Amino acid sequence: MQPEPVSTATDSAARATDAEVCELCRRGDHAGYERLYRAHGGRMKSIAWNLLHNHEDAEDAVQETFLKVHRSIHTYSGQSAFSTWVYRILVNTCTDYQRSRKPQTEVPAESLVARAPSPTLRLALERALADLNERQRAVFLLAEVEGLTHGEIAAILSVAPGTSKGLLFEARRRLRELLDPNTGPVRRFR
Amino acid sequence: MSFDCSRLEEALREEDPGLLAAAREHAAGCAACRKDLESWHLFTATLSSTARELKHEWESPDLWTRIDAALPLRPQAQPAQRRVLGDWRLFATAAAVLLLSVAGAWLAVRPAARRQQPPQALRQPPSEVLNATFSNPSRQFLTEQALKEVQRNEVEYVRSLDRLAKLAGPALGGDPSQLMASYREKLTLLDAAIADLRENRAHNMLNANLNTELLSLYLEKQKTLHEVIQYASQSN
Repeated sequence: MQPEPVSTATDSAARATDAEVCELCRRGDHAGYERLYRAHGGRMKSIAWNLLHNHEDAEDAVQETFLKVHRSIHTYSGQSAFSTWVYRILVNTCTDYQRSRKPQTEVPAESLVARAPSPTLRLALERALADLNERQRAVFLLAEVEGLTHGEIAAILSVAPGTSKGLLFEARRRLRELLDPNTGPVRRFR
Repeated sequence: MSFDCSRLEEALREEDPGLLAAAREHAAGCAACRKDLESWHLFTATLSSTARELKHEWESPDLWTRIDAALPLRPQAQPAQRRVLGDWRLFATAAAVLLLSVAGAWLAVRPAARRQQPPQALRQPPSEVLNATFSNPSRQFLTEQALKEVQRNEVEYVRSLDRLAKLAGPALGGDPSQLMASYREKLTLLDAAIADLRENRAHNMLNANLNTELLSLYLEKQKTLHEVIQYASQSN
């Protein structure tokens, strides 16, 4: 069974589109890459920004991802949906960017721009996310920010769905410790 | 499902609907678990709604242009992968004519050999059997007729290939590309192999293997010439 592509619409039309885009990209057709960008570029930028906290780096990571897709499309085996494979490359690219930079304990000023009714809580969450390990942060962002399922996240991160659930639970628990330290006596999972 | 306080974390970690239902049922009668469960759900609900605000969108009017420029140019399509219906028909007709001719020649020889063999002839060497066949004037006539038909068809087919080669000639000679150089080399090798096989077959017209090999080389040459012509017409 063909896995569901990571898409805003996970129906048969999205799967067909995913396969068409893949075929165009395989042929080296730029129209395929453009369709990929139009369909997933926004989400790719958002994921990259949440992992890198910088517009310029996020756009560079997205561009680098497209080049990597082009270079290695012959290795795509079809075991996951094409878009899932692309997101996996994106997350790995962002991880490489993070590792090549100095460790950040503070969220950069760029991310402090208020965009929502609860800027204080959002800012606190952004800071707390910096305290998670790479995998916890990636799972949290993909699940809670981008709304992907555990199946999709598992395919992107090359882990089992159960591992994805476990990582999300650990991320939430850690965030609770950081954001809600005065909560009542939550005995077992704090 | 049996559920006790120690399994609350497991239920929340695994997000298993059955386990969560059991946890809620258990929490209805356990104040400590109820408090833990409620505070966890309250926190995660707030967390989720805040997290959705982290979805970040901004305009990047130049990003696609940058990516498009950085991607290598589209490679030339490989002409070897193209298929044309017309090729297939010509191909199949030529193959059928040649194979039927060869089969006809073969059938004209075999029954005669069988019928003319006396019981002790079963132990005769094949050359003697063949001689016996050709010693019958009517069978010999049929065999020669079949062979002539094969040769006529082959001559026609080779003429068609020559006409095709003339059409491909300008493209083969005028295009300095690596691809066309490969085609030239391939056609030279095919012509040399065809010439060799024809020479060998001249000594043994009834050798079915030689005829089959020759046919496959003719077909390969035809296919290659078609590819050259198609490539040239698409490049212009």
